[in-house]
Amino acid sequence: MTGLPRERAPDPSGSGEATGVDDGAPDWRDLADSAWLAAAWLASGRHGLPEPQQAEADHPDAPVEHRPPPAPDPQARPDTPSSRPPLSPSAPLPRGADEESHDLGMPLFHHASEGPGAEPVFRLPPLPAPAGPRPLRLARALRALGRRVPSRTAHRLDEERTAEHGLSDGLWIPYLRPERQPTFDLVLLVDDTLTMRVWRGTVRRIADEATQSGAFRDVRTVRVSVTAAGPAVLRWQDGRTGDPRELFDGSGRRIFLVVTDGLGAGWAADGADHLLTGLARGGPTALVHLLPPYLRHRSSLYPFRAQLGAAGFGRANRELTCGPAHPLAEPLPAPDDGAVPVPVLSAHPASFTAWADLVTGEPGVRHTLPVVLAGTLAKGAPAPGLRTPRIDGPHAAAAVVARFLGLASPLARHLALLLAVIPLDFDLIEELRERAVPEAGPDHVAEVMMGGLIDWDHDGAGHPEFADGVRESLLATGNRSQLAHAVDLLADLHTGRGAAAPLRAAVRDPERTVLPDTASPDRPWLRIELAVLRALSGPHARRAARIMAGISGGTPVTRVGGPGAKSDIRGLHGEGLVPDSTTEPGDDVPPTARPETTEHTDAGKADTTMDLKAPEHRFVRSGQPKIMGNVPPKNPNFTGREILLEAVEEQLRQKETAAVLPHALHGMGGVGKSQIAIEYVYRHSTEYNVIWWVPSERESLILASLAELAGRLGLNTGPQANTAVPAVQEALRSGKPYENWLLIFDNAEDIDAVRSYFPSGGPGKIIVTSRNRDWERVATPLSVDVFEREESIALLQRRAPDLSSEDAFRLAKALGDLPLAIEQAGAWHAATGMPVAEHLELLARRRLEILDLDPNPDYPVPVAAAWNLSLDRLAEDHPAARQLLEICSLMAPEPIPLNLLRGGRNVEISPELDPVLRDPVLLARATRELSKFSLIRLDHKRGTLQMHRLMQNVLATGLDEAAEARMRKAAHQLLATAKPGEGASPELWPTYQALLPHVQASGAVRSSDPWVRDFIYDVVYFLYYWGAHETSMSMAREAWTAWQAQSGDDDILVIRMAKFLALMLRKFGSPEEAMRLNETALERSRAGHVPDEELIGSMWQMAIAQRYRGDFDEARALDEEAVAMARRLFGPDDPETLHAAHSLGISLRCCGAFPEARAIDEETARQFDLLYGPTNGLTLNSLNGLAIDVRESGDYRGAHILQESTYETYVSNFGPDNAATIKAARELAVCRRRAGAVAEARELTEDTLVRFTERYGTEYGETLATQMNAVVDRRIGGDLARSRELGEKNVARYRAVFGENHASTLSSLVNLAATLRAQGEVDAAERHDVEAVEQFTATVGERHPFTLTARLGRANDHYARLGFAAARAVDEAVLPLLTEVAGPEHPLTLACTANLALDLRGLGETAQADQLQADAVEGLTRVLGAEHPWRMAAQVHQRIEFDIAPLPL
Amino acid sequence: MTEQYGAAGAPPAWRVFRAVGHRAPVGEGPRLPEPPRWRRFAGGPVQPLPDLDDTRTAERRLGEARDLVQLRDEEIDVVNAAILLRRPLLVTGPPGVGKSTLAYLIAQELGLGRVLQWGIVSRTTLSGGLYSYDAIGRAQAIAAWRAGADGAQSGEPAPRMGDFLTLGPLGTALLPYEQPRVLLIDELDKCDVDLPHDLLHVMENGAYDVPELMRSADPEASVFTDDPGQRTTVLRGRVECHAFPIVVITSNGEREFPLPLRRRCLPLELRLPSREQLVAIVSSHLHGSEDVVRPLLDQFERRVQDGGTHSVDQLLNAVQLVTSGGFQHNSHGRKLVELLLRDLAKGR
Repeated sequence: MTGLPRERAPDPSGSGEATGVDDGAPDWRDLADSAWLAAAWLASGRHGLPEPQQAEADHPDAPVEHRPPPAPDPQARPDTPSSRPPLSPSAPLPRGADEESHDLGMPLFHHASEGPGAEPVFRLPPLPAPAGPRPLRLARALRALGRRVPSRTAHRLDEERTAEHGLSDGLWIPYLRPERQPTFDLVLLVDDTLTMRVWRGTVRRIADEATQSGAFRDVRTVRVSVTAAGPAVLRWQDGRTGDPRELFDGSGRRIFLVVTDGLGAGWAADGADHLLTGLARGGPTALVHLLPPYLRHRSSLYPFRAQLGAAGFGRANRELTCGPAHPLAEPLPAPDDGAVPVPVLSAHPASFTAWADLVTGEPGVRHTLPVVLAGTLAKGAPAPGLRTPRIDGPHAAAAVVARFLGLASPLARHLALLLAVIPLDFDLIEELRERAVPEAGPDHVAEVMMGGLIDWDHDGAGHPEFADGVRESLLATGNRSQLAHAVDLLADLHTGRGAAAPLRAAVRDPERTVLPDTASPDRPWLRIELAVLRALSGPHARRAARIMAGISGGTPVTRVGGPGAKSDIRGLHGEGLVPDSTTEPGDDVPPTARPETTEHTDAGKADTTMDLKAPEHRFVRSGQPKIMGNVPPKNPNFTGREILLEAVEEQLRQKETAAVLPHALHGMGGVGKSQIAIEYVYRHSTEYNVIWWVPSERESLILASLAELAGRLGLNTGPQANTAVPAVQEALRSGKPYENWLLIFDNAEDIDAVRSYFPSGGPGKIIVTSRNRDWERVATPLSVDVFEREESIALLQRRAPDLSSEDAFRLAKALGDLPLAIEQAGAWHAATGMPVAEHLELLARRRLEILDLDPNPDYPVPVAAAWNLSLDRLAEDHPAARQLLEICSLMAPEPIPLNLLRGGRNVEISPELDPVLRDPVLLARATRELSKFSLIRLDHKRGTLQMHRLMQNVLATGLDEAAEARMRKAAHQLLATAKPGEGASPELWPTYQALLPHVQASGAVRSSDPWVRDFIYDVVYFLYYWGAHETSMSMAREAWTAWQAQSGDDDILVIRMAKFLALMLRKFGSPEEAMRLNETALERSRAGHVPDEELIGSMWQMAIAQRYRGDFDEARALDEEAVAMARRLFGPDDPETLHAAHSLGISLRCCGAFPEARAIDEETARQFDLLYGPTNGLTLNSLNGLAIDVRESGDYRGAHILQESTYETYVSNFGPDNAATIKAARELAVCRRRAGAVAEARELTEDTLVRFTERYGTEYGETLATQMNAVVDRRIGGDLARSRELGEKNVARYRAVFGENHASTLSSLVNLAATLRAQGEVDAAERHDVEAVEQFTATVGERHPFTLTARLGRANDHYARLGFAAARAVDEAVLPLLTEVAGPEHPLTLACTANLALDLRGLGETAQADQLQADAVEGLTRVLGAEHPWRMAAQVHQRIEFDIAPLPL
Repeated sequence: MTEQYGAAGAPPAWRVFRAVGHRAPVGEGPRLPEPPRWRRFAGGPVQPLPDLDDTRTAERRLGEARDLVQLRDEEIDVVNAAILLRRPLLVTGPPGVGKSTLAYLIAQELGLGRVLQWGIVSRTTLSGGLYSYDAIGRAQAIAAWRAGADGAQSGEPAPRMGDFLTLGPLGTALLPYEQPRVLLIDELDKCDVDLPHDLLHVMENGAYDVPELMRSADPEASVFTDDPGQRTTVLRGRVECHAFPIVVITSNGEREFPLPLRRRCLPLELRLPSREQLVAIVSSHLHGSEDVVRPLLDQFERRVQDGGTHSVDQLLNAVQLVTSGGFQHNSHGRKLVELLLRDLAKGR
C-alpha cells in the first residue's frame, strides 16, 4: 500500500470480466447467484411470495418464476444501489392520507364551532422519507486534489533500510521515511452573516463531502465575519475570535474555500479584499458562492466570467493566468495592480472539478469560470436587498413587497407567504421549507432574505424581523385558504409546536379564543398573530383590535366593522405594537385593512384574493442574468442629487427617453451628468435585464459598443459592425431576447447621428447625456445644475472628513459649487491636508491668473483653478506623472487602456518619464498618484484610466506649442507600440476598438513617424475588415493626404496608403479616382527606389484598376509582367508571386481565356495551400476563382462539386456571415444553375442578395453582381416581372458605376434582354442585344465567349420573331467560333447546335435538323447529364436561353 | 410484512438466520447451506472455530437475548441471501439503527463465535487488516538472542518469525476455519479512497500471501491471530479460506463506493425500528415496565417522524435514566431527557 492515488487497472486475477467492465450489466456470477438463491428458495417451499416493488421484472420470462426479493441488484445501478432499501409495503404510509390533508379549498371556518383544541382539520403530509441530506457529489470532484506527497511530520519505518543497517552494524536503529500524505489540507471559511444560516445544511454537506473525499490531510471549518467596516474576523468554534492571518500556512499546502452567499455588505468593502488577497497569497483559494448564478448579480459579490489558466500543481492564485472568456468579452482587468483572480464556484461537482483541475493542472490547462478579483471588490456595490427597507409612507410596505414579488421566483414567493406567519427563526424556516415546500431549496429562502423585506437589526440587538407592515403586505398577496393552510402547517411543525397552536385556535375562532397574554415574552408570535388577523379581516380584525387594546392598556374601541373600524385599525398598526413606548399611530394604512374588506366574512367569498395591486409593477424579471456592459465603475463618493435621480426615474417611468443636459449656465460640463446616469444605473440595476453604456462622442465608439452588445445578446451576426449594429437595433426594438433594456448614450453631442442608433420603439429605456442643449428639441431635458451648497459640503467632508463645515462652506463657495471642482478640491484636501485658508488663497491667485489669460466665457475657471493647484504640485513632486497626464490629455476622453502605457518601454519621451514607462512599479505609482488627486479615474476591472474632458481642455491650455508637440509625439509612439497585430483577425478587434478613439483624438494619422504610420495602416485595414468602411476610407484619405504633404509621392508608406485608398475608393464609390491613385502609385513605384515587392504590388493593383475600367487586355499584360518579375525575383512559391498570379488569373478570366486562367489558378491554389493550409482565406479565394474557370471552360458539373466544397469550407471556417463566404455563395449559386439545380441556385442567390444589400447597400459592386445573377435566376424561375425590374435597375447602376461599355454593364444588358424576350418584348431585347454585341466586339473582341453569348441572344431574338433564316445565319456564324474558342464539347457549343437545329427545323430542313438535334442531345447528355434543363429543352425542341455570369474583377 | 407470514406459521425454512436472538454455542448453530460452487475455497488444513467467550461484548451489543423479532422480514431475507451466496453485506442506515449489532446478532444466532471487528479509519490500509509484522521487534530479539547465545549454546531456539507476526481481523477471517467467521468491517465509508478496491481483490480471491513467511526457510509458521491469545499455523506463507467468512460491512451511507464493490455486496438498508421493535429493544435491554417508558417512546417516535436524526441509543439512555431510581419528573428531568433525545444532525 503505497497510498499513491493511481488509476486502478481492472482487477486482472480474480474476477475477470466482473470488474473489467463496470457497465452495471449482470455478469455470469450475478446470474449464477440469482439462480442459486432461487433454487434454495424454491427448495424451501416458499410460494406465493408477493413481489414487493421488485416488480421491475427485468427478465419477465426468465426460468426463475419467483424472483427472490433480496437477490436484488445484480443490475446494480451505479447511482443508487447501495442506498436503495429493499422496499416493502410496511414502509410508513402517509399518515392522514385519507384526511383531506391537501384540500386547500376547504372553508376555513368549517370547524369553528369545535372550539380551540379540536382535532386539526389539516394535517401535515408526513415527511416523505427520513429526509437525508441531498448529496452534492462534490467528493469525487475534490478527490482530484488528493495527490500525495511525502509528509513532513508523519513517518513510518523504512524496514529495508533498518534491516540492512541492522544486519551490518547490529545496532538496530530504526530508520524512518516520511509517510505519504495528501498534499493539502482544506480550510473552509464560512461567512458569518445572518443570511448564511439558510445555508447551514449545504455548508455542512460541503464540509462532510470534503472530509469523505479523503483528499485532504485535514478539513477545518471556521466562520469568518466580513463586515463593511474593518478587517475580516475569524470566529472559532469555541467562541474565540481571530485574525485570518492565523490560517496562513507557510508551506503553501493549504487550500482555502470561502463559502458565502455574498449578501453581506462586507463583500463590497476593503475587508473582503484583504481577506481574499491574503488567503490567495497563502494557497489556492476559491470562493463558493451559494447563490445560484442568476441571483448573483443581486449580491455584493458579482463575478464575471474569465478564462483561467493553471500555473502548476498547487500554485497560488496570483500565478493563474486570467484572460477574457471569449475574444469579444469585456476586457479584463490588468493583472499586475495587485488584484488576484479568485475563482467563484457553485456547490456543484462540475464547478469543483474545473477548479480542482486548475489547482492541480500544469500550465496550459484552462477553464472558464466565474471570477472575482481580490483587491477590487471594494469597488463593487453592496447587495441592495439587505438594506433595511424604508417604510416611510402609506404604501411603502406594499411597494417593498411588490418589488420583491417582481424579482422573486414563484417558489420564493410561495415561501415568503409562509414565512410571513412565522417568526424569523432559522430552524423554523428550515423545517417549514422542508415540509411545506419540499421542492424549494435554500436558494429560495435566500431569495426571500435578500428580497429587501427584512429589517436586519429590528430590535437593535441584531435580530432580524420583517420590516413594519411587510408581513401584512405579504399575507395580503395570498388568499384566505392559503393563509389558513399556512397557519395549520405552522401549528403542526415540530419546532413551532406550542407557540403556534393558539394562533390556529385564534384563526378558527377569533371571537371566543382567549386573547394572548400580552405580557408574555413571546413578542414575535404576538406580532404574527396581529398580522394574520389583520390579513384575514372581518372578525379577525376585531380580534386584532382587542389585542391591541390590551397592549396599549386602553379599552377596546370599536367592535363592529364599518366606518369606525378604519380609524380603529389605523391606530393600532405597526410600530404601535411596542407596549413600552407610547402608542404612536403609524401613518400607513395596511392595504389589507381597507374597510371594505371587513365585509368579506362569509365563507362564500373566502377565496377572494385580497387585492393588492403593486403600485409600480413595471417590470417582470425572467430570472435571467442581466447583461450589463461598459458602465463606468460606481463613484464611491457620489453625494446628494436625490431630486435629480428621482426626476430621471420619473421621466423614464413615463417616457422612453431621458436626456440629462447641463444647465444653460454651465455649458462646459463638469456638473456631473454622467455621474447621475452612472448612479441611476447602479441604483436601478436590478430593474433591467440589459444595461448597456454607449460612449457616444464619436460614431465609431457607438458602433463598437453596439457591436459588442450584439455579441452579448447572443445575436448570431459575427463581429462586423455593419451587420451587428442593425441586428442589435432590431433585437432591442422587438424585445427579443430581452425586453426591459436600458441604453445610456453618454456624451451624445451629435443629435442626429446618435438618434439614428436608437432602437425605435421597443420595450426599453434610453438615457442620453450631452452638453448639446439642442436635445431639448427631441427629448424632455433634465437640467443638471451645480450642487446645492449642502451637497457640496457633504461631498467635501466625505473626501476630507476633518474639514469643518464652515471651511467646507467657504471652499464650496469659492468653487462655485461646481461638482467637478468640489471633488477636485476634496481630493486635494484629502491628499495634502492643506489648511483651508491657504487653499482658498491659492485658488484665488490661480483664478486671477486664469482670468488674465482671458479665456472664453465657458471656461470652467473654478475647476481649472483647483486642477492647476494639483497639477503644479504634481509637476514639482512627480513630474513623470504630470507628463503622463499631459500625454493622456492628448488622447480621447474615453477610457485609456493601461496596456497602452505599459507598451512604452521602448520609446524615448523624456528623462523623467522614460524610467516610469520602463518599470511597472513606478508606472503603477504614477497612476496611483494621479488617482489620489482625482485627476484621473482608474477602472481596475477593465484596466483603464479615464480623464474628464474638461481636464483635457485645462491641460491643453497649459501646454506651450513645443511641449504639446513633444507630448503628442509621445502619445503617438505609445499608440504605435500598443499595435495589437494584423487588423484582419477578429480576436484583435476589441483591442483595436479600445485604441481607436485615441488614435483619432491624438491626430496620429498625421504623424510622420514611420512606426506610427505603419500602425495607422493597420488601423485602416482593421476598420475595413471590421466593416466601418466610411471611417476607414476617411482616415485613409486623411493619412494619405497628410503623409503625401510631408513626405512626397515617393515615400513607400505613402504609396502603400495610396493603394489602400484606391482599394476603398474602388469598392465604395469612385473608380476613377482609384485609377488615378493606382496610376500614380505604379508610376512612383517604377521610378522611385521602392522595394521590388512594392512595385509588384503596385502593378497588380493597377491591373485591378484597369479591370474596373474594362481594359482587360492591359490588365492582363500588366499582370503577366508582374508575375514574371515576381517569379524571377522571388521564385514561384513566394506569397508576392502568388498574389500577382491570382490577379493574373482574374485578368485571364476576364479576357475569356478560361483554360489558361484555370491552369494559373490551380497552381496558385496549390501554392497557397502549401503555404497557408487548405482553410486559409487566400487559398479559398483562389479556389473560388478556380471554380469559375472550371465552370466557364464548360465543366459545369465539376465546377459545381468544387464550389460546394469550397463554400462549405468557408462556412465552417469563416461563418456564414463573412463577406468572403457570401461571395463564395454567389459563385456557388451560378455553379448550381449551370449544373442544372436551378431552384437551389435561385434560393441561394436571393439569400446572397439580401445579405449583400443589408451589408453594403444596393450600389456596392458585390451587390450589383449578385443582382445580375438574381435577374437570371428569377427569369428561369418564371418571375419575369421582378427579374425585369431588377434587371433594369441593375443595368442603370452598372452604367453609372462602370460606364456604358464596361463588360459588366454589357453582361447585365444581355441578361436583361433574355428576360425581355421571355416577356415577349422582342424589340427591346433586340435593342439591348445589338448594343451588347457591338460593344463587346469593340472592347473584348469578337472571339470572346461573352461576345459569342451575346450573339446567341441575337439569334434568339430572330427566332422569337420567327425569323428562322436570320437566326440560322447568326447561329451558323457563331457555332464554328464557339467550337474553336470553347471547344466542341462545351455546353455552349452544344446548346448553340441545338438552337441551330431549331432554326433549320423552322426552315423545313428537317433531316439536317434531326441530325443536329440528335448530336446536341447526345452531347448535352454526355456533358451535363440527362436531367439538365438544356438537354431537356434540346430534346423537346425548345429554344435554349443563355446568360452571362458576372466575373469578379 | 410480519403479518403476511403470520398465518403461514413458521418463517420459511430456507432461512438459517431468523433474527430471533437465540444463542447457539460456538460451532453448534444451524447447519449453513452449501456455498455456490464458485464460492468454495480450498484452504487447509481445516481448523475448528476458536471457542472464545465473547459473551460480554455480545451482551452489551444485543441486550439480553429474548425471542424477539429485531429485524424486518425482508431484511432477514437479505441477510440469509448473503449467507447463502457468501457475499458480503453492505449495511447502511441512520446512525444508531443497529448496523454493527447485526454482525453480533448473526454470530450469536448461528453459533459462529467471536465477531472479528475491523474498525476503519482514514489511515486504515489493507495490509493492516491482513497482518502486521514487527520487523524491528524480531531484529532486536535476534540481536538479544545472539548476545545471549554467546555465553552458552543453551539450545534456546532462535526467535521465530511467526512470533512477530499478527494476523489482522481480515487476515484471521480468511483462515481455513471449518465454519465461516463473522467479520464486521465497521464504517467503511471512513476509509481511504483506495481501500475498497484492495479489499475487493482479497475478498474475491479468499486468499492472501504473507511474503515475509514465504521467504522464510521454515515451511510452517505459528502466528498470532486477531483473537486474543490464539495462534495458528500458516503454511508457506499463504492463507486461503475454507468457508468464506460472513462479512458485514457498515457504512453511514454518504460515501459512494466503487461499482465493483457495490455489485459484489448485497445492500441492506436498515431503517429506524417500528414502535413494536422499539418496545422489543427497550425491554430486551432494560427491565422497565412498558408503562414507564411509554411516554418516552411516544416522544422518541414523534421526533423521529418529525424528521431529524435520532439513534436508538439515545432512547435507551433516556429509558435508563427514567427507570433508574431517583429520576425527577420535573422540569429539570425533562430538560435532561430533552438533551438525551436531541436531534443529532443539528450538532448541539
